[in-house]
Amino acid sequence: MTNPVSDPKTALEYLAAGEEAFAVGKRSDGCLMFWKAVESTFQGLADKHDLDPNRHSMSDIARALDVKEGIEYHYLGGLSTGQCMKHNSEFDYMGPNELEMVISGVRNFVLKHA
Amino acid sequence: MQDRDDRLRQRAPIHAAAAGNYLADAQHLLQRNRLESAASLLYEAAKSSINAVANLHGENPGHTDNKARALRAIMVQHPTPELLQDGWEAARKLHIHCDQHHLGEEEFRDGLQLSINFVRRTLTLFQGTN
Repeated sequence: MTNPVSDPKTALEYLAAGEEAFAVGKRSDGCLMFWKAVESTFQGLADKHDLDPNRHSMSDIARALDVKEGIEYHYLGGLSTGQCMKHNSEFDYMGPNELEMVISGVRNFVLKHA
Repeated sequence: MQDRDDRLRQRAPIHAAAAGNYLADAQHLLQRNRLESAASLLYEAAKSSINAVANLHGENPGHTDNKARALRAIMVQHPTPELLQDGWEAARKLHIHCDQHHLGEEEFRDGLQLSINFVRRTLTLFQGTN
């Protein structure tokens, strides 16, 4: 039986893998896993709302959901901050206060929508 | 302590005015399709707008990472706090992009929009608090 944290496939499994990486100080790995959690969340949202990810970018999907649900920049902001985690895994530009805040925001977004 | 708080409160409108000016200049540059210059100014606008609201509450964020801490305190006052966080992170990524050029066209465009929204909201919060 495979361990979902070592071989994540769903948004929640990516999130758990990210939490585990952060817990042992692997910031870059944790950021990448959190980004994959957001990416996977958007794939799930696209399926749920019949938005073909082959025809629409994630930005398009986020914008469409914001319009559909009448929430200004909620999905687009969630996507954008998720993308920041991907960039931070590469450039490591966030300080500890900022990273803690972003981890919390991305976690909340994934738990709300995955 | 009271003197320090008073001095910070006096500086708040100066930061707010700077944020407004940076925002106006950025929007002017966007109209002329000078996107990277606009992105740089939006980051400056975002920093100044945080300083403005933080100064009103006797805080002086200073270093960039301390702005995240100041922003968390500001978010408590806002009905949709995640919008502020997402907007600030968008401005941060625009700033990194000006050095690394790592954003695709679509993500860069989204970042501009979210950053403008962040500065407007933070300045509205400043006007409501001041």
